[in-house]
Amino acid sequence: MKTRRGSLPVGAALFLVLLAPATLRAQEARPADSLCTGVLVAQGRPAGPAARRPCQSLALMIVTRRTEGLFAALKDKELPPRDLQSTTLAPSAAGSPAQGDAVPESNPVSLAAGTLSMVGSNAGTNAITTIGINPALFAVDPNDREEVARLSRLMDLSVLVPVSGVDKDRDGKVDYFGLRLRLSMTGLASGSALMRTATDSFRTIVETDAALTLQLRDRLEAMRDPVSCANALLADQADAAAMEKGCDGRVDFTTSPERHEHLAAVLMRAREEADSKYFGLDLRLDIGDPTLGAVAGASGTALFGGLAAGRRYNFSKDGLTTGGLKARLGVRFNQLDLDSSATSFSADGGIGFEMQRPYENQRLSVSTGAEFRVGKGGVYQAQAQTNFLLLRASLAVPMFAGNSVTLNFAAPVAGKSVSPVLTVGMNWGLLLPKPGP
Amino acid sequence: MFKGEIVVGSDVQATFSANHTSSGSAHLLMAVGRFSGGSDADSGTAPPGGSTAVKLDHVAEGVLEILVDMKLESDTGQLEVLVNGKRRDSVAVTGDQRWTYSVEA
Repeated sequence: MKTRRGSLPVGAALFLVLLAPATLRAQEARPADSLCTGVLVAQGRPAGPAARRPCQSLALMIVTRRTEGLFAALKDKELPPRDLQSTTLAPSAAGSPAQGDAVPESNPVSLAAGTLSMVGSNAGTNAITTIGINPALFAVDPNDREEVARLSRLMDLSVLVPVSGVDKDRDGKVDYFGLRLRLSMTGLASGSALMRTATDSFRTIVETDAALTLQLRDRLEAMRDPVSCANALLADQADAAAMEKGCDGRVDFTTSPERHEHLAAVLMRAREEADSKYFGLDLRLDIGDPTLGAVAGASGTALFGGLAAGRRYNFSKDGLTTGGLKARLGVRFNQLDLDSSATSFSADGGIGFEMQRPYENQRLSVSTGAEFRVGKGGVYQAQAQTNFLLLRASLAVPMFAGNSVTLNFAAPVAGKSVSPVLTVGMNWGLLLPKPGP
Repeated sequence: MFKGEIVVGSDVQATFSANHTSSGSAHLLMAVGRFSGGSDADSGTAPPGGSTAVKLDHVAEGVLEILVDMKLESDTGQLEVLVNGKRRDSVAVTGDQRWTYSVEA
């Protein structure tokens, strides 16, 4: 979000061009230059080509040190250690009997994850294995932690396969197979009005620093002995009297701490705003019978594309317990195997509420919600499952590092031949390596 | 932290990549306070595991400051500064950062 303030008018620019010879004179060596360079070197000036105006560099080094304490307003903030972007440790089984959340969201796993789900429905008991990976792992050097970290929030791909009764109808084909793709677009939340306010606040601080630097540069360049002045200003325990003596007069570094406090407050609010939202893409492909035999003739091919979004809020004084709304909406295409002309489109969505509290790299969560599908299935409405309303409730409990257990219950409120489902899932997640020292 | 000098008229780009393990988003702000008055600025936000870049073209004489504001002082990331497309500084950082550059004619 680029902004510009206080640009020179055309007339002023022309005036500066006419004064060019004076500006060029300023680039000539000044008597104080070598002395300022000496202080810069003694103070550990960063490596690089020699400064064109050493006293300007020295002035900024001094201003930076003298104003560093004001930025403590940003460091000393008492931010609640909320885990608003907590690690996802379960692959996506959204829309299948193995679904573990009341309403699935779009945050991907960081590296890889797996779930073994025990499913109870009108079809009896089944087991489904879901494996999820982050494809970015194939595109980057796994030893490049920065690159892995950058891509680990982007997307993941999950595969669902039943491990009990793979071919119950004995037709030589796997009865059910599912693919899920989650793409996170959380970064879109960054361009907020609050960030514009924060940027303006930061500009005011930098403009003040520039004015201080210019004032000090001109003063150092005019001095016979800028070294004494610079050393007095750079001293860790500099006092006003020593600075006044070393600089032949008073040097005023008075800046308003309120500006830095305002900046810290606005940045904190902007972060809360960015972190409390998620937004992403949810793509699903199901081949075979997603009801696992609960509905005769339900085998087919289904494709779903939708968006998922949510927002969280604080629910405790320590900021650790958060609650929020989750929603998703998309379109599902279905073609049944029993009749190639039996195709249907339906709107597929859900809305839910989730309370959660982070526990190390996982979260304890309770959620409830409703999922629906509305469409025209014609005579095959039951097989295509184009019209239903499901109420869901789920509980996720961390077990130990990287492992959790989920319990999900779905009860149909409306819809033909839609089965109630009870799912128990054991989740295992692989975490990114810890940052090095 | 004073990081040195940049020549007037340079194009400056700063990129911050937040570690996946960060506790929250990080803000990246860059501004040039011009000696002639006024300022130019750019800003962005990096979610955990994500990155953001800010850029200012043809910087004027004055002071250039880059600020990274992280949620917690234990959060980490990589801050990189390019000047005219060439890497000037690239450091793995922990906690809030304030880098200053003298933009000199």
